[in-house]
Amino acid sequence: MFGRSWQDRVDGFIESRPGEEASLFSEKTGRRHRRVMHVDMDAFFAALEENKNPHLAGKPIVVGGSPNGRGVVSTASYATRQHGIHSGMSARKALRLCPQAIFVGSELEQYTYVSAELINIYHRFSPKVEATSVDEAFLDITGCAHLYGSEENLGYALKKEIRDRLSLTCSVGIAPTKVMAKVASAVFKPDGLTVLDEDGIKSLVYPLPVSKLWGVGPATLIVLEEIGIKTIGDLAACPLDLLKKRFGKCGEALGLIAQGEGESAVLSSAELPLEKSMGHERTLPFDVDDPDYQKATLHYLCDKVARRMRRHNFAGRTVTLKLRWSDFKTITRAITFSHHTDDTLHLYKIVLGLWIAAIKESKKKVRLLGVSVSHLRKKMDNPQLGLFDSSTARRKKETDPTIDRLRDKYGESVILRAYSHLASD
Amino acid sequence: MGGRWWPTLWAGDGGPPLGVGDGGPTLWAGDGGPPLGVGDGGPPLGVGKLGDKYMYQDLNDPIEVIAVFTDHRLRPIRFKWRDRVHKISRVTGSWKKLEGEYIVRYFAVVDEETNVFQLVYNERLTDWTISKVWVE
Repeated sequence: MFGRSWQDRVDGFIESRPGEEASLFSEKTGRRHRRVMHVDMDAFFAALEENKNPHLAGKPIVVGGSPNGRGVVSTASYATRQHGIHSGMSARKALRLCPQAIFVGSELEQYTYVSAELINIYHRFSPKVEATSVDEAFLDITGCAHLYGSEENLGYALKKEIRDRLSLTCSVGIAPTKVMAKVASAVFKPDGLTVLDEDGIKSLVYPLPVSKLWGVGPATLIVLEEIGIKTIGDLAACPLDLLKKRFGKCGEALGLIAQGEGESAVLSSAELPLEKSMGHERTLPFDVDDPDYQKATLHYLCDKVARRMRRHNFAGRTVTLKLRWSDFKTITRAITFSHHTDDTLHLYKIVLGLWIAAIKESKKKVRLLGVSVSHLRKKMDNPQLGLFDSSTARRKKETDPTIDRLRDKYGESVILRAYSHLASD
Repeated sequence: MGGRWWPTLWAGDGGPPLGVGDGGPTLWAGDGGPPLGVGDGGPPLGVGKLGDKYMYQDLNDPIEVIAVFTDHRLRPIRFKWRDRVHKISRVTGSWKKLEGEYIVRYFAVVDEETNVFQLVYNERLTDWTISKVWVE
């Protein structure tokens, strides 16, 4: 057993029980039956806040921005959700719906830290863990049930570990695919555990509204309802040809997902595809028509995006500016170059050009600014300075790496470019 | 021990054993002050916005802390803020983040009067601050 991978050990265990091997493979596809677990922490942020502060126990809590400003709800405790409060809602509206709610600011460093602790726990149960957000993850538990006696036991063991170590509850779904596991984890919440086989999918999942299926957004929902598909069962029963005609290849994929087939595997962090773009955006604390403030914000955003690209050794050649006016109308303007860049100043000059053109379109104040870079590629290691580069050019090329080194050692706030100071955190 | 407020802390030195809730030594003159809370004669905490639903007051005040290193962890057990000593009855949350190469550690703590605070230990600066206090 020494030196063998986790999967080798499971395969070996299964091979030693030949009578069971046939049942692990699908007669339909010939592929091994996959079993996927979805873990969804219950009101994660609110639960952490409640744990920290005994005065919050049992109270209606809203975690997020202030109702005095432009804050939005990050999470609402279960006591608050029954008033109709949900993530993404404005804090002001949440206060109107639940005047007795207690509003608490987000403690993102803590949530990130605890999320990393959760991933460590997940890895005790499976080597393949795909964290899709700070409070949700998929685990590939194919072949694991034997180790715990049953999938239910495995689910309960995981929940107990989380509760004992972190004093948090979660809801768990186990099913053949990621999408079904995610639907399953939402069936009984909070602190639920739902294990679905084919019969379970038919009885529990198929009657659910099709909007509950991961991947069905508002636009898709409208079209599905137009062709009479209201439940997940309706979608599973719909001929794939019809779905392909209405939605293209995505429609066929959606139909297969509803049938519990044809879906991607759980991906570990090493297997996740490279990022396609990197960006940052900021909702301004107040609507702004001051050009200097807007330019300072853009400079700050370019600094953050470029820093992130350099940290991951990327450069990009398509730059996109996002601008939202005070009436919530949002525009994006993009430009693509032949060469890639990761230079803060260069990026800022490009974005400034896009901004100058964009603000001519309206006299309204600006509410939100965003910068993103796409068409990313990995850079060569240690690109040399050109032999004939001027001293100015050399100094400019050394500025970003020097600032990066300072920030790597002392933190992000150790140095700010002067022009970003107006807009910094 | 003129001018010093901390006792000798380990068994065998004549002092009681140190630990949470152990009736340990009084560490600062003036210990046992009134409970913390707005309007109780305690120190002013700063004005919050009228009608503001936020119940945490954000601060960045330096504090003096007595902490133990035990079970491979750092744990604060007492702190002094605005001339008042708070004996920590529970650490209800702890986490850390990297600031460059250095670690900043956060502790959510509850004192014996159920006042709730957030303490921060900056390893680079080797100092403690209080970053939040719960105000009702």
